[in-house]
Amino acid sequence: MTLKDKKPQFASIVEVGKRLFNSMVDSVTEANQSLVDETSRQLYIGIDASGVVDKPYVKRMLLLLEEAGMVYSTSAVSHGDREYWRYVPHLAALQSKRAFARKGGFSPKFTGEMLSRPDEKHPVRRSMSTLLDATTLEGLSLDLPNCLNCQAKRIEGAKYCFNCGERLTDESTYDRLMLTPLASIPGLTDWQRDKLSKWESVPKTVGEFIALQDPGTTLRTIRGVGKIRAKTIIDAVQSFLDEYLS
Amino acid sequence: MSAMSTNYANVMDTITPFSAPTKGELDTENWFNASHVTTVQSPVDEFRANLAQINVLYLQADSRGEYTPILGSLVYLGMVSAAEGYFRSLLRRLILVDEACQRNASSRTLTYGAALHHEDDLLPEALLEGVSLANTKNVATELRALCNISQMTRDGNVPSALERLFHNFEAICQVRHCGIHRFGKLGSQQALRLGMEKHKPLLEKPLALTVLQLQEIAEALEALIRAVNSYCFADILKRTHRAGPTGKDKTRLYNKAWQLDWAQDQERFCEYYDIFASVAGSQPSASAQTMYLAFLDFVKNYNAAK
Repeated sequence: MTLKDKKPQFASIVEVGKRLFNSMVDSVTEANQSLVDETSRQLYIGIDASGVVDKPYVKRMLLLLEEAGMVYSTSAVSHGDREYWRYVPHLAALQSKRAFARKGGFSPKFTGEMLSRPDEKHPVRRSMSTLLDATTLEGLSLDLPNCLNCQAKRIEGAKYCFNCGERLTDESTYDRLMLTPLASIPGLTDWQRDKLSKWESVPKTVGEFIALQDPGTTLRTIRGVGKIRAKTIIDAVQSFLDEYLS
Repeated sequence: MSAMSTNYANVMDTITPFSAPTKGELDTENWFNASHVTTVQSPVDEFRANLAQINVLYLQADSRGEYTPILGSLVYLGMVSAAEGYFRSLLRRLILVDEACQRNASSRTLTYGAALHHEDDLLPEALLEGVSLANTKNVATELRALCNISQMTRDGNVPSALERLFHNFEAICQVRHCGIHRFGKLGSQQALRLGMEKHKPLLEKPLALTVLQLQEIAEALEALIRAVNSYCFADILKRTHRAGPTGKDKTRLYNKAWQLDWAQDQERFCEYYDIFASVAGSQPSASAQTMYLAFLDFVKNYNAAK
């Protein structure tokens, strides 16, 4: 289950957000690599506020990273006449890039030593346009579904379609949930996915599945599925529903 | 000197010269689309289609950068007209199909001209020609008087669930007055009805709608029409059973009883369904059979209740 599935209008922003996060991690990693033989550590990246404040999607992207726990936001700092928004990328991501290790070998002891050093005086300073390329930044927008009536592309903020004049409606989260293919829900084994997608007597979507009076009996019509396997599948559907609707 | 005075006289007569004075009579008979065939669309679909055509006008003008508030004021009038048209259509169709509505209408007076020239199907619409349906009171009154819709009164009261929607409709209609009679400038009567406190500084100021506001108005009208449509459908359909031969109402409005069998009820049920259902656009109604099942459900519960 990802945010992209739950809020499809954020799909592009989430996708670009991933790239932004990787860039941030790379920048901080690089800074630490040049500090390996010094006496400080670098946890902060400062992003030039001028590239963010009047860009609602960029702001939203940073907020999503924050909400997802990928970055930790702390107070902004000024440097010259510029303001920098400071973030600490998740340490696990920095670790996995070997930010706090010497090239060639990994020593937990060294990493521990480096992480206990005092912070660098200034954060790594970056502007949005160095972290992401200009085309990506310019193209950042919500992924709105086309008009359900005429398929014309939707104008942001519009309530009616400029092409056919009909009301623009959203496919609801609930509808999307109900139309999710049963075999695609998380928590299933490959074997289970294979059987669920091929077995004719088993419904193909989550909506049809939960409408069954007795899903257990239906599942047990699959060769090789008994009480226990049926229950694991039912549990997977249940936790998928719980998470989706939470 | 005398020549000069003749010239002055001419000038006096034509303070507003006009280069091509027309003496000919305008041929209004050519202004209408004579080949138009009255559609079998439901009133709500007719409304939807009319509103969509109007929406396209200002939305496309906007996308070309050609939108002006004057265009906004004009399409605004069209929107209210679409809503008013819906109420007329609905009342006409119900009078044609529903026994009770027909009985209510039968005592109304029709002009001789309408009786003589109208096609039968359109005759009921002539009943309402003298009535404006661009205000809440008249809509509520006619829905009550002609269709016995519950919780609508002749004083203009509407069911509480529809109150907010009608309140917005009323505001839209008040502003429409200014659009029709004063080229969009806010008059004191309308300001009084809209709330003088907030509107006082706007007296004699012109209407200047944005594209977003027009969409909000379209949305408010569509919400009202769809809600009234749903309300009337449920109200009338339930009544056909309650006030029918097998119902418990004291006043019998219907002589025909539902057979509670799709094959036997289909024709009659679809007469109602076709008046109310929306079959096109981005938010279509559930199918006639689904609605029929819901109706059976209602009948079952109603019969089971004491």
